[in-house]
Amino acid sequence: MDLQLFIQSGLLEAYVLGQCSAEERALVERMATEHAAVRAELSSIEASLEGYAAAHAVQPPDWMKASIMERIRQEPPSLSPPDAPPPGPSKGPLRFFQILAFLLAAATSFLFLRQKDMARENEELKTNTEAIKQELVACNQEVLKPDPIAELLCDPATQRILVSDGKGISTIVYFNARLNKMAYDPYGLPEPKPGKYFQFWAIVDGKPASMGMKSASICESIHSVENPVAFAISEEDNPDGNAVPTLVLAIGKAG
Amino acid sequence: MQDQQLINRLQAQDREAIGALYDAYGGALFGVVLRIVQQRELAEQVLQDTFVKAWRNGASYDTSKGRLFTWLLNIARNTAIDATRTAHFQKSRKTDSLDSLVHSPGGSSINPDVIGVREVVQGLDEKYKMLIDLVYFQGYTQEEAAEETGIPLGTIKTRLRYAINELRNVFGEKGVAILLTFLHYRS
Repeated sequence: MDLQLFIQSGLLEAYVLGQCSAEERALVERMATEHAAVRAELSSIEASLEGYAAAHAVQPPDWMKASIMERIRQEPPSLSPPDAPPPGPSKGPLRFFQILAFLLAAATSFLFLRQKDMARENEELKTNTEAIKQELVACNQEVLKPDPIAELLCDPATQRILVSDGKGISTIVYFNARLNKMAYDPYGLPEPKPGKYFQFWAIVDGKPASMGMKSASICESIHSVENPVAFAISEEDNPDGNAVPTLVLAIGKAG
Repeated sequence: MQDQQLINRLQAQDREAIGALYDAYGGALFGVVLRIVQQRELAEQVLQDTFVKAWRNGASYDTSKGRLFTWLLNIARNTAIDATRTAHFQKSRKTDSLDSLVHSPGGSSINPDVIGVREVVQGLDEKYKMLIDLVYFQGYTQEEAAEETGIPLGTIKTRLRYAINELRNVFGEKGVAILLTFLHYRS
């Protein structure tokens, strides 16, 4: 390579200003190692830049230094941050690797933290899963448990007894002599008069036996009873009911 | 020797080293930054950012690659060039041709070396002059200059580098001024 041509190519100026590619940078550095003239030229370029800048310096405003120092005080210690443009070498590829390294570090940190998060989430999920499993087992046991109302309603031997006053008060009582259980459908009954309550009865051995106050649902209406001859509904003043019916409103015969 | 002490303090994470750097080079860098951005307020911001970056990057400075001033100069130049790459700056910059900048009465106060540089550039061969006008005075990137002129990018780069070397060698200080403030002289 013609040394003079190399020196005059403008590449050395580009190198000093950090404006050349990685290959060009390597070439300049190799040539500088091999040729004193290249080193001298590089030194001359740097000197001329510094000399010119110093000769044309402009005094910054007085507050500038304090402002910079304040910003520096707020900075963390300098280590090896990403955007250092070194003198001479091209910024491009170096910056690329710096950014790549930064991104890799960021990604690694992110993954590490994410992994920690995931481990924690995993632990939580495990606990939750265990709780759900136990709940499910309990549910299954509940489901598998014979449902008394379903058993009563589905049994073909269950009698349907109409308990009615022939007007507005009317319901079906379900009774199974084998299970000795009764239940009734509370949904069709009207609301009792204000201050009054409906109480259900079974007539057993000629005496009234309480089957409880009108329930909110058919499931809650189930009661045990043996050998009833009839079922009745009475109107009571006591919300908890009475030992004997006050006023029988409707009656239905069993069997 | 003074530089070596500054470098040692910077690399030892001595915050006060930035104050010493500022005392030594603040004015020279501010002059360069002003010539590039040509707006005082923006130049002040760029100069502050330059020293903050110098602090952040102190550990990466390699003495074997060049002078301390060159390192700082490149941080300042890159920060200034980035600052000028805003859409607003580009727009205002591109409306100014070589002639209008040279004859702009307001320009001389902040950009004293514009006057005189024209004469220097006039001394160059037409093919270099045109590129200097586009890239230096009108703020085109080398890629934009290649598109505008239809000249291959590689040729543009070679010619610009040659022109820069020519300016520095033949025209001395004024050539250095162009080298210092070359806006988009990037590979």
